Amino acid sequence: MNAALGWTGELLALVAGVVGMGVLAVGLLRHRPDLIKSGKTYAWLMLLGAVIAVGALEHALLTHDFRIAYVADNNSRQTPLLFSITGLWSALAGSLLLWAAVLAGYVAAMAWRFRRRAEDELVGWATLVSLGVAVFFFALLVGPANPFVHVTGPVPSNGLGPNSLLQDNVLVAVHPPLLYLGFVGFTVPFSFAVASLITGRLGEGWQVATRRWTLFAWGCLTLGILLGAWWSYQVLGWGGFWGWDPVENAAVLPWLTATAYLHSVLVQERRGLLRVWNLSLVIATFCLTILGTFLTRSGVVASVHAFSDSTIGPELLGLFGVVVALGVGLIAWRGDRLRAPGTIDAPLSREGAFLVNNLLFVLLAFVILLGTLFPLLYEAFSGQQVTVGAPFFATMTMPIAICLLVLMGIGPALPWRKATAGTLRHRLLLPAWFGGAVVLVLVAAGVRGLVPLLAFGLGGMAAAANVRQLVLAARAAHRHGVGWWRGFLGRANGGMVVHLGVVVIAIGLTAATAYAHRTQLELRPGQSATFDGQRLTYLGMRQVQTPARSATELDVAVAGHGVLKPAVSSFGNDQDPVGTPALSSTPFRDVYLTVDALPTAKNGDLVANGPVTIGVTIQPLVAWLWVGGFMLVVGSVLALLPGRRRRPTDPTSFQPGAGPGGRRLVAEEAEAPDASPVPVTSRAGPSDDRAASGRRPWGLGWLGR
Amino acid sequence: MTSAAGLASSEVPRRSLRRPAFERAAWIVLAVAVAVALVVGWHRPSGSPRAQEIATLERDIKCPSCDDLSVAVSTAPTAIAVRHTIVRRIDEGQTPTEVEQYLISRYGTAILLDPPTSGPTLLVWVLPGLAGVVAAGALGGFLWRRSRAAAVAVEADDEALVRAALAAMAGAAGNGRTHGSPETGRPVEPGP
Repeated sequence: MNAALGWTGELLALVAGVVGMGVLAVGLLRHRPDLIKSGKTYAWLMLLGAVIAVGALEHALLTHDFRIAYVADNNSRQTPLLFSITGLWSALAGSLLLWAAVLAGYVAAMAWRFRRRAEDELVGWATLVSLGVAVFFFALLVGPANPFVHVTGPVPSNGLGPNSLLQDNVLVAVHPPLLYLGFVGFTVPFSFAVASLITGRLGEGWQVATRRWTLFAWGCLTLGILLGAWWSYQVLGWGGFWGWDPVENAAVLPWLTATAYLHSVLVQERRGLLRVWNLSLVIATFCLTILGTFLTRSGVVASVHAFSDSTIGPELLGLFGVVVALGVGLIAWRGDRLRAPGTIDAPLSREGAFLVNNLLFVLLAFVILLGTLFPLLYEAFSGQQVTVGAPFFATMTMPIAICLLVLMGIGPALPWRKATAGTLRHRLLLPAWFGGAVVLVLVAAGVRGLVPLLAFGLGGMAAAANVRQLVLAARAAHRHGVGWWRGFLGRANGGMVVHLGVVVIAIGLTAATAYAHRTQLELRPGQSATFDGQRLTYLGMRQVQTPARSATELDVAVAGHGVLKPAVSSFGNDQDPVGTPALSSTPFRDVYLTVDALPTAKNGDLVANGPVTIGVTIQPLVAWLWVGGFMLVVGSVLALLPGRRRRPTDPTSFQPGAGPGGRRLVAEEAEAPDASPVPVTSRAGPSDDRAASGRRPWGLGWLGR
Repeated sequence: MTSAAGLASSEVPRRSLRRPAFERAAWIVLAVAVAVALVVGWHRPSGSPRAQEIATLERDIKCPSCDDLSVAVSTAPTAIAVRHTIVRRIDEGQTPTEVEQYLISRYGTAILLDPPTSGPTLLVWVLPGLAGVVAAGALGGFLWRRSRAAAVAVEADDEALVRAALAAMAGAAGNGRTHGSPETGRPVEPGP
């Protein structure tokens, strides 16, 4: 029954998608508004099909329906409820179903959000493109990666259960869905970008329409990546949170291009520049999500995250190729319409800083992509295996990361169009002194090492520069009588909070990687040892037995941290034991213990009072990674909320008639992020469909028409 | 006190804080202080040469049974075995290169976490720098061309246009002032 229902749901979604694409295509090509408008119905039908399929698979997992091969492989009668639910994304076919369902949800949400513009050809094409992507994934589900296939042979009495690593931490319930919300969410801006290229409406309309969608997807991806790091820290047992694993890299690649886009889109909205660049970034972000899925789910790379092998590699690679060709082709086709109406006046300006920011992010993405793909390409050409690992990535990305920290300290203080040395000297003085003070205090306190000191100092400067912008924005809001807290709302101000989170993460990351200490201690029960100023006493071992897990736990007393219980566990029917690390966090340092070796007699039995080998990792400031992640989320939410909207004609910084030159700069207001000087002449033409999206242009150029 | 007067008075101390000479001096002091601190803090003491050689090797050698971990961080039995091998061979007087050569002969080139900086794998080391130079050059060229082409002056009739539009907005706000902010009704210039 479950299987039949699941098949039905998948087929319904697939058929709805194909029919919807056909109807929309006919309506768009023949200019039939009634047909374009009906396209959204198919989005809802597709969502219905996806919900039925997901419901059927969840029901099968919860009722342990081992007739379905996917359930037999990824569930057992002993699997706890939570990990039965998460079984949906424990292996390839189920996680593809989740992917497709999330995409169907996004398409339906688009249909709902733009229901009043349903006849608009831009929305029609965007719906068509997103339906097309969804159809691809539902076709995979109906074809080569169907989670509802029956077991061959007799129905087993019990299943295998999920991979051991996937059933000892609740983060498994959060990290993959968030990552998917992020990955799949970039389909929305991608669809609108393609729609704008097809319709030739290449202004800022599509970006304004998808601003919050992009930011939402970006926020989910950011949180998903950070929770993934947290998960691997707590589960994988090597004391690290980022291994430059191909799959981790695959998740961070679209994040980098999306982050670049979130910055450069401001330049286009404000100045009308960088149109081709922004379209390329959006299309590249989407391509990288597909490439990431290919790397994760095709088994071409060895990775801790590639939980199953599959046969859908060629299909994903095919989609990747089609999307790249489509993007390049469309941009080339529309090339003549993509000329920017304005120019960049001076390199030392806000838009200049955004350009450098974009260059750095794209360079970072290139380096990581190169390092990730190089072993594959090298093996293909030379037949020899080669590893590109953490030292390469650390060496290559560190200078770029330092440059980004510098830029984050300077960028927010730069005005649009043109900055003078005097302005910068004034605005950056306090932030620079704060960063300098951080370096001085740390050196005086005995902290050594050039790169960590640079990172801490530049982080301090960036934090101060961003706090300064927030203070200015809050004061400006207060002066306008709307409450100082309004100075924290809106894209620019929320962005400052996000920057603060990034600084906190950068500092935690630097401290944890530069000043980590590891050792292995061999201790008998009752013995103590001191490592890196931390006293540890091994108290003894215990056997722990629950239906889902059998484990050998050690009790280790860590001075100031209580008793930690690292273990070696076996889950379900999986006889291969995995280590279960134990950790204790304080704001200053984390103590992280693993069981590296248990004492065994010749016959393989445990010797309860024998010496055990305990792995100890002590890292400073790790906890701040997660605090920074929380700040990123808060900042993203603030950026999603509407900020103080400055009317384009408000004389905030440019005031005709005041003073001899006919203009005067009111220092504080001119600097407030939401109220920067308005370029008077730079915008040659207004964008085509701002009116359709109900927004006013920022510039004043439209007054002159 | 009218809001206009408040605005004007709040600007007076700000101007006095913006003394360029004071700011220049503050920047110079900061630069010198940070430079001295960095010179002092530059060097990071790191054990004996032997310990350093071992640490570098352990960081750069992949754990044979893991996907992407070095033997320094992995706790797998194979990693521990390699660590013992490294320590033993260094203590026998081998150079780090000789130890690396031995491990490569035993496990293949993939045992190195970093690809070798010689032969075809040099490419992966050179390309990022090359891309950085090309990108910086492209950006520099773009900005240079753009800023040369950007000499657009604000003409008098442009400003007249803006002034007329602002006056129209202020008139629509209905408070009769010539240059009132329509949002708050606050006068933005402290009259004659």
